[in-house]
Amino acid sequence: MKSAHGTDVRPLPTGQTAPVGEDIEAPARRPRLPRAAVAAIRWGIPLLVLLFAIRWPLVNGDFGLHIGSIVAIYALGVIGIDLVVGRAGMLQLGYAVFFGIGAYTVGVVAKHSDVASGLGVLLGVLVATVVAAVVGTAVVGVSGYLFALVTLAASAALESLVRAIPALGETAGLAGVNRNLLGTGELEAMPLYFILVALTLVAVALYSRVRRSRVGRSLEALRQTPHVAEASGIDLRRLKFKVWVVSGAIGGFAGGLYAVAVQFVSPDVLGVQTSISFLVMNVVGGAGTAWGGIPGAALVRGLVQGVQGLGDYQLVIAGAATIAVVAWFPRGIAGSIERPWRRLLDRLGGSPQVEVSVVQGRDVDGHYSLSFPDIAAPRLSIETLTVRFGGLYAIDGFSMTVEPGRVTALVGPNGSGKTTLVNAVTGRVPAESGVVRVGDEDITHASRQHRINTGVTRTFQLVSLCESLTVRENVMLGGHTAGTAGFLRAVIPGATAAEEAAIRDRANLVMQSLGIEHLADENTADLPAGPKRLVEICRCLMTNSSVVLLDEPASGLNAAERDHLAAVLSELARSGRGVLLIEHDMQFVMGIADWIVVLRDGAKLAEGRPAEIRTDSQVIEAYLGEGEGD
Amino acid sequence: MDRFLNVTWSGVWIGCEYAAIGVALVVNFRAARVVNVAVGQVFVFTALLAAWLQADGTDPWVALLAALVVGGAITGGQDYLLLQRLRWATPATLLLATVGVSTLLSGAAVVFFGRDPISGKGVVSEGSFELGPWRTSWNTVLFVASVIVLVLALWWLSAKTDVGRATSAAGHDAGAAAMLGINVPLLRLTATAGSGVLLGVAGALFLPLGVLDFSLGLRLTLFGFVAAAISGYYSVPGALIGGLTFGVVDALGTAYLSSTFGLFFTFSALIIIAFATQWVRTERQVFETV
Repeated sequence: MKSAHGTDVRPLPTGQTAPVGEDIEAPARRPRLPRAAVAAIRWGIPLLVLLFAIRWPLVNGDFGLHIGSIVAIYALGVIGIDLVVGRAGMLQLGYAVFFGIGAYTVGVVAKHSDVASGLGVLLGVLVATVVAAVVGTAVVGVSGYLFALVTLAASAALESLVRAIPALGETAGLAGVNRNLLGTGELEAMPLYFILVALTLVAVALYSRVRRSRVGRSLEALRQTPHVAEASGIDLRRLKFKVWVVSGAIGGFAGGLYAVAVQFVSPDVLGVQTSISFLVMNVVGGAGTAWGGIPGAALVRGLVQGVQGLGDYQLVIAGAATIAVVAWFPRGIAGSIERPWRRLLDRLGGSPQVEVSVVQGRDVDGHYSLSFPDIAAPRLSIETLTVRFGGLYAIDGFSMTVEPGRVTALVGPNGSGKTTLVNAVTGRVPAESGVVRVGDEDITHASRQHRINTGVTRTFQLVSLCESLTVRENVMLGGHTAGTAGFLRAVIPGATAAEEAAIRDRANLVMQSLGIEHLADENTADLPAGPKRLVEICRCLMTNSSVVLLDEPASGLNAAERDHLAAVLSELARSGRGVLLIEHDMQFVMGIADWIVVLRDGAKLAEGRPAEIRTDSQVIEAYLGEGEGD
Repeated sequence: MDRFLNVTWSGVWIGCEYAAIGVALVVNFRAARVVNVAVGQVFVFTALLAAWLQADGTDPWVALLAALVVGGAITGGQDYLLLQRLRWATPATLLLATVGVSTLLSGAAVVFFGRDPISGKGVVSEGSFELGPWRTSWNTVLFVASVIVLVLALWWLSAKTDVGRATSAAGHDAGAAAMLGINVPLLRLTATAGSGVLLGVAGALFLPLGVLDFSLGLRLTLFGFVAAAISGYYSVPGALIGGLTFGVVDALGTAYLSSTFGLFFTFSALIIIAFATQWVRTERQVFETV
């Protein structure tokens, strides 16, 4: 396919047409409300709804306050399961274990002493955290349905164990928990309710901070594109472990509060029914949203507790409601509201419409004006590398170098081992023998994180972006190793500001260099193929990347997008970086590569300048002959 | 020795109950990639239905037929009307949908059949027989034989016929299977309904052996999990062997060790099995990584 560069109008993937080589017009703005009015709507309406929700128990007497307190506690507890299920995507079916540990700790403390139950709650958080940490290493190593199975069985096992232990009251449970939550004496139902509501709202606010933090981005990547998370230097196992422990602490906290509110603990608080109930609340409320626990708990617990009169029909209604939500509102209540609500606010506020399919960074003549800061990059050398899968040698004693300041192309038929080579260099698959060196440093067996620090980054054959994150957030993901903030700092206002700003500035700079900074706030899912590839490359450049490994970056791009990509790759090489380009499109390769290596069945067939490769008879026979057609 | 033999035998027929549920889980997973939590409740619901019909004067054979039809209709209907519509749902959402079905079924059981534990008549005479020290009833033998025959039939269907292979393909990659001309929705419906038939037959024939009530479903699903997980959650005969092993070990443990901690040991065993499976899978992955 010949480059269409220079024509006046070209078709875009979306079917529209756009002028090429002209300045982008200022985005059209719809008529909009004053900023203050939009802000009033943005905050006022949720606040009103919240106030009404908080008020309902107050006008329904002790029964109302009891249900309100229970709902607040469960809403707080749902945050813990949402971290694991909604954020990290691990199907936790035994969350009630932590809830129950918190509750039983309070019960046991109350049985043996008269101290304020608030102390019991704190102790419960501690015990739940310790238990989570002790079992965590083993549990997070289990994947898929086995994780669901293990957690569900843990809940069932613990329930039956507690039923058999006299010290824990066996089936009858433990009674006599005091309501001296703050150490100021027994609390009446009303103040207790307000304290619980306040705790829940604070927890929701803190949780929404986590969502937007460095940890929040890592969790999105863990759930949707774990391979990208790994390629960005995120230690998945460690992240899962952290999420698991934090979730356990929150579960323990909610369970302790529950024991205080109902002044009684029975084995079913850590049983299968409670675990499933938490999952139902999470999904019905909206998994992955910060505040979904509130409507989820209100609907599920409020329904069960509040509509006792339904008697025999209670289970029928609960089951039908669950099915209905799953079938018609798969995002849950909060998830179904959030999107239209944001769109409405955007419309009222008149946010600019961005032409997502156009890349910027050209001057009036249609030349690209890209510029990367120059660096002195080391050479990447691969020496007699062998990668073996069982009896199959995917890479067999292969050597090559990626020189700084050059575009080195790696070509070869399908299955010749190109992607495996990139996987071996980035540590995704282990090398059987041979050496991979960056400069003088041997990284053959280094950790992935260390490889990233030495400057080796990559993109993937299939475009891999986190669709729930914006373009900028996707790029910032690449800067993961530049920061250190975890859960704790994420919830403290201001604690991560400097670090986040640094990563954000770097992301803005990189996006600007590649001509996509105008897309920074767009939804990744809405982008066409070309800009998506560029976002991936931006993500690679977030660290001080000196060697960029690009796995078929041009596939799926139209002619103009290819031109732009070619300009980007040339600029990367010009700035001193080493570029390894895996590509099937020989025209693209011939036009841009300084050096070409041909791979066949895991071994080198030939290497040389494009002109030499073009005329190499072996290469023509093995590869070009069949590939010339595209 | 007599006690050992009879305890073992009770483990065998209880194990058949777990095996029926375990096999249903495996069949649903293979055909639809869904962990169908509702299967335990389908077993309970069909059993309660058969008992209710018997109490109304219906012939036990007719009640068995009704249980079989209703069981197939529930699991098939659940898949065709609900799960197949949720094509883009995450595994968690799908699992939750089956939790909803399970809850709805236990609610329906309360409404139709009441909250009290129920048992019922068998389809054959109440007589029992002795073979040396071994004593059992004809109904128990029939239950065990029916489950084993049905499971083996399902295994033959799934592993040895084109239909079975196509069903596995449909579960593995529905899109690719559809492009090869496989009628994915129909196969899924057939396979899941087949698992419901197994549950219905097992449920109705279990009636003379034990007592059931509306709330047991989820727990039975967990036992079925154990049976299925022992062999890696993907093998029909494996789930049968897993169920029998689990039943026998559980019966012996309860009889000779401790009945108080019986359930705790059971679920702990499940956790250990899961870890072992994970370990085996990881070891295998090292060799099969692509």
